[in-house]
Amino acid sequence: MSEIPPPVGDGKPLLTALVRARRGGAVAVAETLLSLAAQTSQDFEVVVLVDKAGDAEIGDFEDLVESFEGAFSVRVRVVGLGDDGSRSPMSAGVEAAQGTFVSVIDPDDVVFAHWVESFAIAAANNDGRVLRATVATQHFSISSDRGRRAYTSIDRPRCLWPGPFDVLGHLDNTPGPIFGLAIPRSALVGWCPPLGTSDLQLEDWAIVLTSALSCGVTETGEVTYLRRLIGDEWDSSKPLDDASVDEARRTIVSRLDQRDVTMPAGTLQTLKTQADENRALRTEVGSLRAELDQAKGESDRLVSSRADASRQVEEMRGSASWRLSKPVRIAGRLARQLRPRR
Amino acid sequence: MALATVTLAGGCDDGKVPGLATPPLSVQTILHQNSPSDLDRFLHGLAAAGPQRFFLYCADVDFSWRTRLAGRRVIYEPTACVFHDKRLDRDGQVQAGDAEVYYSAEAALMMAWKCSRPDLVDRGSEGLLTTGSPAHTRAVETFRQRQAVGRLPKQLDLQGNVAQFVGYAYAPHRFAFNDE
Repeated sequence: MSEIPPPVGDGKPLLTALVRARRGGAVAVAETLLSLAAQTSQDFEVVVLVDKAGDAEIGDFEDLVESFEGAFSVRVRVVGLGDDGSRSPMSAGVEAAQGTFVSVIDPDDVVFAHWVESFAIAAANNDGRVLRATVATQHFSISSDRGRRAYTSIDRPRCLWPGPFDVLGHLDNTPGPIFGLAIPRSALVGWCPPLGTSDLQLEDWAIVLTSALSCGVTETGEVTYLRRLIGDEWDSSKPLDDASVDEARRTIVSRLDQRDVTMPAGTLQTLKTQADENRALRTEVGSLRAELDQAKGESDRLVSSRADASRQVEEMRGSASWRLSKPVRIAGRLARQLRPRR
Repeated sequence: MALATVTLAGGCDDGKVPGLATPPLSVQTILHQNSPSDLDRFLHGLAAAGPQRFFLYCADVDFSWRTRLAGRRVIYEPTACVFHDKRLDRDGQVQAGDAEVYYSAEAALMMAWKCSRPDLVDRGSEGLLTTGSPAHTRAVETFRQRQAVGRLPKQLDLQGNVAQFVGYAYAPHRFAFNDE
């Protein structure tokens, strides 16, 4: 790994970690904070966003923060979002953040020690772009021990989204996680949920898509985020509801179509491949249509011929000669039946 | 990275932890991770069990088991958290350097030998030689060379009262990195 760039020097950190503490209480972010305290680069701050919590629960978070050593705890702030759920964690987080970038962490999840470091290295050469680390996921069970959370892994870590960021896939409802992304804060200032929804997954999807298309995406190439999936809790890898996505997609596309957008690396090749496929499909459809028209013409001709033949048979059966020769046809049939068999 | 919830307390025979007014827990466990030198110094007499021959791996297990062989107890604190950084590749597999591969293999053989489990030494050696890893082969060769010249550590726990082997591990693991 390259050398860690020095801090910019404006007193603002490179990165703000937004810890969305929306389930499990303070105990669910204890290991998250521990992993942040172990970072190899200290150019970051932490904002713990406590959703739907009263003063007592916020106090639990503050006590937890104070239990860490001072050099770390002074860089951690606890922000209450009220207990009515009216404030979006992302809006509040961006408002409170001072970092050039913001990155979301969920409770129970942990980051690797070079999480900030790898963002810093990528940021040094990619000003203003979304920085994307690879996210590993792992299933865990949890148990409670004297009010604390104890984790036990069920399987090994897996990287469900190892490839480069797929902006077109996101547009087509293949949701990757917001975790692992460091998003320029400037791209999110003034952000509010545009979709009229409190669905965090949908909001994440909208933020990822909007920021990626506004800023472009650079890969750090490092696995630095471990998403710990517990039971059937909210999982960003699950498909979104089709109707909600359709509505959200229309809103986002409408917004983004009013300005220039930036495509992540590799998007042009994907677009070209899709254009080639579209062209080939159009040619194939044209060919199939021609075959279909030809078959339809033949079918029409056969139907017409059948109708002609039926009409001729009816005309023949209705003729005077056919009616007059009826006794002769009956006699002939009887003669064939009476003829001795050999 | 292993966010291990681990043990880290040395208990005396009377159940009290030195330096603490009351012991935090009374649950005993079979091993703890890490062996701070001050604890090592505190546990007088452990050096008599033989010089430490572990590097990078198994020093903590060796320390724990020697502690128990010396009549002390090791206390399990399940909610203590220790951050142990690892790196994953894009398949989600732990990236291990050559040194880690070599020393973990060497320590596994040494641990089995030291705890009087020649059957595990034989089985482990055979298994390591079939992986195709040069580091594993070198670890087996090194072990056998030491054995041939009598440079292996003194064997302990002849009755198997302390040592525990769970597959190739020394306790059931709470944090897995492989599909085993």
